[in-house]
Amino acid sequence: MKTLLINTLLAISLFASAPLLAQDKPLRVGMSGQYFPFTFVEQDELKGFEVDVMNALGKEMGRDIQYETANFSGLFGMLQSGRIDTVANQITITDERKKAYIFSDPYVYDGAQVVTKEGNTEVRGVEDLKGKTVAVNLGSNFEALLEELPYADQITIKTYESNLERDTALGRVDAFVMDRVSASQIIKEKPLPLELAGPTFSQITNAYPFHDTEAGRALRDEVNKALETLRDNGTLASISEKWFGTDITQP
Amino acid sequence: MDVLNVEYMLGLVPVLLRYLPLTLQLAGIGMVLALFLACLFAVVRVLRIPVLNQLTIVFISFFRGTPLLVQLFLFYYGLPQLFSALTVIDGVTATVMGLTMHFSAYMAESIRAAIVGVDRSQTEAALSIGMTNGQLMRRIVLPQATRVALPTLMNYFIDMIKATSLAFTLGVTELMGATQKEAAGSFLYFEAFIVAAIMYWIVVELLSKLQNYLETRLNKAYNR
Amino acid sequence: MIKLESLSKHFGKTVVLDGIDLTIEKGEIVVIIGPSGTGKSTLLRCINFLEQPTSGTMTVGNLTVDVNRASRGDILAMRRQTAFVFQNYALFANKTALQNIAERLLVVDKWPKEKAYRRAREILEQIGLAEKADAYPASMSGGQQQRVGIGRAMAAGAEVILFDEPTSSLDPEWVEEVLGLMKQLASERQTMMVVTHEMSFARDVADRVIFIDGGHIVEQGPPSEIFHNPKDPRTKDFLKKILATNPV
Ligand SMILES: Nc1ncnc2c1ncn2[C@@H]1O[C@H](COP(=O)(O)OP(=O)(O)OP(=O)(O)O)[C@@H](O)[C@H]1O
Ligand SMILES: [Mg+2]
Repeated sequence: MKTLLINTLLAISLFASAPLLAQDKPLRVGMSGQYFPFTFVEQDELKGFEVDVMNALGKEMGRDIQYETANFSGLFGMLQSGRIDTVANQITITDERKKAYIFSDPYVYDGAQVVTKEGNTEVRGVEDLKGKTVAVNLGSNFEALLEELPYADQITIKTYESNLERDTALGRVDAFVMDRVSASQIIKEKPLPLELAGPTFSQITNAYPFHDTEAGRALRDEVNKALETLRDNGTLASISEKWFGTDITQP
Repeated sequence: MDVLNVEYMLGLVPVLLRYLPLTLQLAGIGMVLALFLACLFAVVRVLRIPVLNQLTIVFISFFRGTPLLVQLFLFYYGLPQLFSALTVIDGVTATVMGLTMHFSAYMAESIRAAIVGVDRSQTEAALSIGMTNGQLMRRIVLPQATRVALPTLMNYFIDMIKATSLAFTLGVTELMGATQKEAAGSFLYFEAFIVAAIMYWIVVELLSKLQNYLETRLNKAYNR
Repeated sequence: MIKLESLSKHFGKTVVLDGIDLTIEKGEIVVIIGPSGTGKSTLLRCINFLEQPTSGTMTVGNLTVDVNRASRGDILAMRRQTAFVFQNYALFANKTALQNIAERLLVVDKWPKEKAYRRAREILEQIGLAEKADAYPASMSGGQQQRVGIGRAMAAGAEVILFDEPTSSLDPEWVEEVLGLMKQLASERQTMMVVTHEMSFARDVADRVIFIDGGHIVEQGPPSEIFHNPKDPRTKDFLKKILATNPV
């Protein structure tokens, strides 16, 4: 109770003085902590590609990074309500999102990938998803991608908060769709009987969303500048190599 | 995953234990506030206090009639959209608010039923010796209603502990949020969630023990 | 002294008490009789303000109130002056015999704990239940519960104790011990108003018997007069019926 009250008072005073402190305030970054290998936790330590890139950006910008983890379905709400400044969770640039937010330059180029249980001979690519049940993460844009397919009405889409790769391995759904990079990462490193089915079917670019306000635009410009430096000096590429064995930060 | 990875599970115990206090704090504070609110609502309903009674009925109907997650979203994301100053409501506060309102609506009804269930002639006896309404409630009605309501209230408390797992959607890493993130890192879902399940289970078992103890004490007056 | 002037009670359109005038002296034992549904309970409950009377004036001890102008304070004061014994005992189920008796001293009269419990123990001695001090109502017989109910009323030190059919719920085996306690109280000249069908109690103990019918006092007088020489045909009729089932 008491700490709650103090927290609230603290928050009020912070809020009141917010405009003055804008420069020195840490960049508040939201992520799910549940998207291997981009953001996940091991022994209470937040890790992953997103964390490494964000830490490098922070260093370049001379800002502290404050990580806020929440279920993916809560992240945009936190951004919308001003509790975080941006989301580092492989956020794909879409027309819909562009209506509400402005985006930094892309820092990951990827494609949508169908993944099935090992030995599945029926589903060998996106064209085989007709009449099948397909899992996607709740709030991710793979659902929208699937719905753009001409035979979308014959696909049963199941949305997951987490654990969709397990349900696919258990045969509860016929396939899941995820970005190619993390899908191959899962198959390579984790003891689940899964395999990639066919080539990617839609290129996607991922970036950081910001509020379309003066402060948001300033932050985006700051991040873009730092991204360019990291791209030029090879930092982005080496972080990508470390996690994926390939450079996903180039088109 | 043919064999249970016991080593991983043991390693996870101290990590997850760090998040248990927050889970208990959310539920504990929520329960105290919800009980307080529920007693107020119940008294308003029993005494049919005009205006307040109608407001209480609408409040109870809304918070019983909508999912807790929806309420949490409304407090956490919705209110700041309407009044930007309300961004100060952090995830912990919003969770406690949601748990309090949601469960007080349920508890108010069971407390009301327990109050109404106290033998009316005892109420008259208390009034006949010159007690005020407040004294009557405090000394005669509520102690007896407590005994009747205790098992139900305990069930709500247990429900509330489990409902704290929704807090991770508001960015509050409690026991369930920590477990989900660890599981995502190791892909050892079964191991991670079984550790969390056992922790919840132990807490609930301890509470059941407390409940038995309280029930025995409160039933003292009713054994022949 | 108790004085009721034009005391009336309506339930909606039903007139249950129709302008009752009644004076009871300090130390007087009054028994009220009458057919079922004539307002005997309502009369006692009005005096204790368990029912809000519709009109009239009541005086108890040195407290006089016009029932329509009675403030919360007046009502509480009136209740403290008038103790009530209920047909179904109505003991506090969450309290022991001792606590039931001490409750009002502690809570209403704000006595210190020690003094209140000392007084409650004295009363338990008087009602012959000293050994039941720590027993809860659920573990006591009906007779014992009603004696505690009377003990609770005695603790009040009230002007008058109102008894509403105190033995009607009891198994026959317990009736005598309760009537015995009431006789003991009567011999100490505690002012009492008793609604009862126990005609022997009325005959042996009452100073005055009042016959009520249709919300009016039809007839009143010493028991010898009412029982042996009733004047109103309604009294005669009632007594004939009740004495047939409850012989003296
Ligand atoms: N709360 C109430 N609302 C409406 N009518 C009532 C209420 N209480 C009592 N009455 C009516 O008032 C009348 C008198 O009731 P009361 O209980 O005083 O009778 P009584 O003389 O005590 O009868 P009995 O010998 O059966 O106890 C009855 O007709 C009863 O139905
Ligand atoms: Mg009666």
